[in-house]
Amino acid sequence: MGVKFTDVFVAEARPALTIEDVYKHLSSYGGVHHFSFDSLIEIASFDAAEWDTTDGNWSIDNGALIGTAAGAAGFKVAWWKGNGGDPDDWRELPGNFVIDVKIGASANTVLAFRGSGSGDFYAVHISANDIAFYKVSFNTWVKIEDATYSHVSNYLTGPATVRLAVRQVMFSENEVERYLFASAWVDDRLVLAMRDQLPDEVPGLLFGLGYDDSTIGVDANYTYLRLPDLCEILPWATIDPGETPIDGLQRAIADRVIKMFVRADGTLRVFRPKPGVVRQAFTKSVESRFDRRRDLRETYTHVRLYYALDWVETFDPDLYEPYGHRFIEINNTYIEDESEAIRECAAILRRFKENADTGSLTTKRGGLLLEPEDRVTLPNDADYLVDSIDLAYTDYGLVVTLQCRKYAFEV
Amino acid sequence: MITREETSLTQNQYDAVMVNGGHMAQRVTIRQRNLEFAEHATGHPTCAALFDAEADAAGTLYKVYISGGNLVLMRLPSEAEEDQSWETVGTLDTGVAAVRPSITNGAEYVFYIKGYAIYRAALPAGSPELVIDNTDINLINNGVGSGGTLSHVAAPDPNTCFVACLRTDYNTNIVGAFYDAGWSTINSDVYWPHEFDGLDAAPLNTGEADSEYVLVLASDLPPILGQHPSGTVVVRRAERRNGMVSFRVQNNRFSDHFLVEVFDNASDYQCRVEPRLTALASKIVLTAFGKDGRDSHYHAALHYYFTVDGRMWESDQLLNLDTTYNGAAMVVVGNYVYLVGETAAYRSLSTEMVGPTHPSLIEDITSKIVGYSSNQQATRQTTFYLKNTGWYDTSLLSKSAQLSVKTELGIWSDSEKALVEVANELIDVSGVDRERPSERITIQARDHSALLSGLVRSPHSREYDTQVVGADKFYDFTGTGYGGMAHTATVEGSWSTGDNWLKLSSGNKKGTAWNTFKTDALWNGLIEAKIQIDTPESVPDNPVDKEFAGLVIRAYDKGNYVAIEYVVEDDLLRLCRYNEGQRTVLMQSLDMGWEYDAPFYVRVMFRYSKIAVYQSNDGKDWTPLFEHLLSGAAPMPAIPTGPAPVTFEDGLVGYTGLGYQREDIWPGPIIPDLPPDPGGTNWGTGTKSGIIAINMRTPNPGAKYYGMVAYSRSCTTGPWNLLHGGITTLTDGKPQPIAAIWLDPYDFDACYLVMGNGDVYYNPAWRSGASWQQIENRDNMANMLVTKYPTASFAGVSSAYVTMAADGYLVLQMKVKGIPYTGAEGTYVLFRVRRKQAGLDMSPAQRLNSGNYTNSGLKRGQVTVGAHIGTLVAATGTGYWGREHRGIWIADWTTTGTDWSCFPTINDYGVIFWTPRYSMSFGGDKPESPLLPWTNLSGAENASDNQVFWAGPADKIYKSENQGTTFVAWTGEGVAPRAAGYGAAIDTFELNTDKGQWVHFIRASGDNAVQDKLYLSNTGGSSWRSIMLPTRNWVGWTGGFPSRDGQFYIAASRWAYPASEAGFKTLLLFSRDGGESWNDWTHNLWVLKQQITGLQAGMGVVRFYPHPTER
Repeated sequence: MGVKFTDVFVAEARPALTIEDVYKHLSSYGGVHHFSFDSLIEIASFDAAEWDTTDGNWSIDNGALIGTAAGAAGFKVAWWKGNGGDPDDWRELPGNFVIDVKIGASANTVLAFRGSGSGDFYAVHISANDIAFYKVSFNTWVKIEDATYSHVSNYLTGPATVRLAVRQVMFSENEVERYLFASAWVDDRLVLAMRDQLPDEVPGLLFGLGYDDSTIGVDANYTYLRLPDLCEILPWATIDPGETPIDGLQRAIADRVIKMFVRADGTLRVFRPKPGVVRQAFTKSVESRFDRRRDLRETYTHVRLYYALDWVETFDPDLYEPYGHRFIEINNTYIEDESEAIRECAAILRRFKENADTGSLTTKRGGLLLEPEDRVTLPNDADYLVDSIDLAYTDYGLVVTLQCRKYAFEV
Repeated sequence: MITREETSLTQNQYDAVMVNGGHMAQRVTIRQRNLEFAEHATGHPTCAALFDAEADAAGTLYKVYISGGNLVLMRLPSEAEEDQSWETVGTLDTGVAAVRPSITNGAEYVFYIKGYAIYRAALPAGSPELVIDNTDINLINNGVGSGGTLSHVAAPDPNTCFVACLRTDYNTNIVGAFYDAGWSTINSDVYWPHEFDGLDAAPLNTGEADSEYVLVLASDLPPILGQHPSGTVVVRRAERRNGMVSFRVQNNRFSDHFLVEVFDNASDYQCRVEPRLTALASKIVLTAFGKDGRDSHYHAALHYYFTVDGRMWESDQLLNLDTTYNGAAMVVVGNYVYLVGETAAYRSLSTEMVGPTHPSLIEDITSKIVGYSSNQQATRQTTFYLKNTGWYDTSLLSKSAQLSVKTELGIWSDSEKALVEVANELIDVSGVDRERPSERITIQARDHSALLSGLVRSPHSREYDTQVVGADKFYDFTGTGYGGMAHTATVEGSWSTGDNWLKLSSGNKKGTAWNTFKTDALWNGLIEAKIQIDTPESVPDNPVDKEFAGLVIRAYDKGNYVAIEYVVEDDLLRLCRYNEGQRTVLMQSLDMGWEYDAPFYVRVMFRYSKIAVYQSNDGKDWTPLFEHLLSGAAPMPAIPTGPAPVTFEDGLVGYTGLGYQREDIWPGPIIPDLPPDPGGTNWGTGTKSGIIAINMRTPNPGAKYYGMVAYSRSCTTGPWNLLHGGITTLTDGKPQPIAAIWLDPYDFDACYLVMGNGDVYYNPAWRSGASWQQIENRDNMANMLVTKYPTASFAGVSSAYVTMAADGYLVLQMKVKGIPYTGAEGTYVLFRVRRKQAGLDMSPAQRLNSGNYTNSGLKRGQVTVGAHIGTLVAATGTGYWGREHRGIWIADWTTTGTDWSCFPTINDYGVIFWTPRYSMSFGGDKPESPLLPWTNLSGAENASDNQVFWAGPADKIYKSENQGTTFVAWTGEGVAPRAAGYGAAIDTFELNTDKGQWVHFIRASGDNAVQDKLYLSNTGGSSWRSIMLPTRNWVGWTGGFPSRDGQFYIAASRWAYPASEAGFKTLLLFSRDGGESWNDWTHNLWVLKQQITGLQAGMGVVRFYPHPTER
């Protein structure tokens, strides 16, 4: 019937905005230009032990990961396994992420993502002739999208910084409208974007670096890799007239459990709470005072989080068994991805657990070098996280007071 | 935790500090944070906008500037505490273009433009070296030397420079030139649809091995769509935006852009210009002159911004310095910071804003501390109590300055302090408390998180959007036919979904729909789709339009967008632009070979002005079809008076098509159109004071002109005073008449004057008798011509045809001799230059009717500006030989110089007289008022194709109700100049703003200057009446201005020489009744004539301007 359209794809040429980027943009606007973020992966010098190099011919040269093409057809991929041994233990990336990879002088770059460990993965391939996205299944390549040579002719060879953004998006509750989007930038310019419909099995979460084995003499050369911890892609961030950068940050980050403070050297420290080592242990002393309190007025043991399209929930037996079934429902429509919703939901529950038990230590002996969110052991031999630090001159000299909440990560 | 590696402590010291296990030590210092500039150094040259400054490694500060085509180098000796004085090093080159030169970081070289080439010279005394000239392919591709110009140059280091190529299609393309055993260029692939208001570059100090640079430009940006009430309806309209954006260049590649600062409600009073970048030790500073506010009240200042990586930018700091309206370069030399501006240099002691703090701005208060408390959670807040020993008034604390306090704590170790910096905070509060038994000083401070939580607030909206991606297969979960349209907004026509297709169901009518993944506007990106046209169910007997299907980009509304359309009938894919519903084909493919009932795939990539179209057989492997550059965008008015024009810089994406079928089930919602662009500038009210320019000419052959400018503070009662001090050409008898004079429409106390030799003068305050200042940039106009046509000579400015466009551009014509095909009389070339603040910094001139002198477009012959109507510029032209050049020509700013359209059509020669009398007038400056351009052509009444009558029995009046797209000859009864041999000109005045009443005056002049008549219509042109003026025998009319209330008109004219008067007379006339009756208002202006005796012929008023804001 008449004129009709389908299989539409729209992609904008602008950067993918991660949570880390939002902090950078808005804090820079305020005048804070130096940051301390965590990374899920940061490699300045490649360690072969962290990569599964059984597929292809891989070597380490002066800290760079080199893949040497041998002339066979297909992609050869070194999968990042972190400290994992078996493929089941290999480190997986989040569902949505942005990763930066620096390549040396090379025209043979393959970034493999959403790998399943069984030969299925997606890849962006940058060669001397083109940039293209592929879906690979048991070494069978299916091109999803190519850029064509003329469009990106200046962007095909290294050295360069390649940024890859991967998003899994559902446009409705119906899984038919679930897509995987990926975009690639070379030196901050978008060179190609792709989409692939994911109606059935959702692909895995493995990441690898590879090369096209068919181009003898054209090797892959990877020199740096970083996956930020705050790698989720946000839809936007704004500062309205009259607002502060914090106003914009709070709106963009919403209720995500992310901590932020300015260090002594002016660096903005932003991080998602994670298990950490004990920074300082305090024992009972006549020179210190230790108070502790349990307050269950704001304690919940069962959290349901409604995110953009659906809901998730978490329970903690360590809470509901002693304190009963205390339920709370939270809305955060800024979260669009299920895995991120599960993580945030767990973080919210953990925050309730932390806040239920608090401690306060006033001492003349130590604490001077501590920072917020440092893990400490207080005189009751229990571990806490530092909420706030007070320094004061008193008649007894310099006194440090730490306000702490219970360390609730698995010990 | 602060780790040992982050301190300078030994392990033992660190362990001791960790447990506070020793004798506590501390150090607390306060520091001035803000920069504090004062004018510094004598002997500073005055050099207008075309300058740059940098310091070399030895600390010598260099400044280069352009004066009279010379590239002059000055220097300030290395920093010493004593007074400094500028000294001239010498002239590095001559004949350089009026483009701001650029000194590299470290002051090793200066890069500059000369002709159509880039040169560099080593500092301080190197010889000019050619870097790239217009034989380079990337400059050739931008037409540099063939109409395109090099508008800006920026050099971050000796081996790198970037140039902006301003093309004739009004796009600006950035080209990078890189040295590696020879110079080569890289095209940025960024075709920016505006002229830059400045460009600069600096190296990024990221410490990474790859060479990296940041570029910043100031420019208009794609307009933003808004909604505004207009009468009883709400209309969509586009608002002007401008701002500064940055690019990174890494590995000789250009990034996508990053926004530095954007103004959604932009004007020339809400803007940043003349950006300059300087690399500091750990970051980059950007300076720019800026205005914030509106035309009625604004603040002008020098703004500066910091960035570390060129992506993220800090909010601006302001400096109120008098002489930096052309920007200033910030340079750090040792412990000092210099700001080098146009006419002065300023110096500040260095602070932590730009580097190490100068020792004199650090004060140790450790010994004075008697109390201290500090709390750190999300924010650290600290209070110090200090003993007052009378030192407060001499302390930094008492100074009006932004201060910080640095706290270091630790222990004594081996008689020395082993300290750890625990806080660097900003002082919020300080003061003296009357605390018994003695006074004490209190300091309250917060760490730098205070910058994020309260100290910095954005005065404008700042948006950091992520990349939008979307995919749609139009699944209809509801089965209703509309369930798959979650990401589709219909605009016109019936659309539905089914079988995973979006279907256009309108029978034989065009349909358009938007994709809604991004609901405001896509600037750069792509859209692709699988498209199919089915075998028609029902072919109409006489289809009005052809079947087609395609994709839409750059869409504002249903009448304004760019489309890629596949037309079944001829099997061609076309790139088309729809402007107010009218379609223009920009590009088309060869035969596609596509068929009914078979899908085809189309991808459109759009990036700034570049459109690339691809096809595919499977949606995966794509083949390029063609690329096209959309024309650059229209410069917006200095003070927007109406909606911005549709410029296709960004917009929505979507679908369009027309299929032959039966269904027509649902019309879909209708998005209102943009209102027409009214254009124009409201000139304000009537006047009492005025300025007048008069030419007098000796009667002899080779007559000499004597130009005079006079002003009166009360022109109704006089006296008139000469106002020509400082312009010797006005009084020394040179044959240089005054070509034009006109008031600055945005600063009525200022005016411009163009002399016959092309000199442009500016008077900043004519009512107070200020002197004239010559504007340097007019040289650019002449140089451009001579450079392009070496055998040509610049002949000067033709008289009187100058207009101030509503967008702040001055349009004037210059005459050049010796251009081929033009004859001795010369060719008239239209230029425009942008009016700038204080009038001293006109932008480089741009040719409007440029191009090769072919037989298409407004290329040759006599050209005169008729009027400027909103985004349109109209001119009359007479070809040297070809008839096709006669007539009224109209161009849009977006296509100016390349795409003039002529009314009447080329084949309709008959209505055009050999030398057309021209004028163009327009009414309406509000959205609800339709634009009514009127024009007149003098010619034969019974003309026909290929037949020209050199004299005709009548003139005609033409009228357009569609912004000049089409004109209709008005031949109704009563039109005035329907007598043989009469020409006519028309002016339209607004009689009453509130009531939308307009008055049209026709000035009719006889063949032999026997008699002029003035006709009046206040019926929209349907009837005309002759107006009796107090004096007859008019031979000239030079316009005038109405008041808003319709009670007061004024006209300037001249009178021929009846023997009884024994001379010439210039009159000013006014009417208090809408033009029905007129009074002689000349008073003792006649004195002017009498002061120069012996002049006989040719006296005429160039222009009279009353001051518009007075009554």
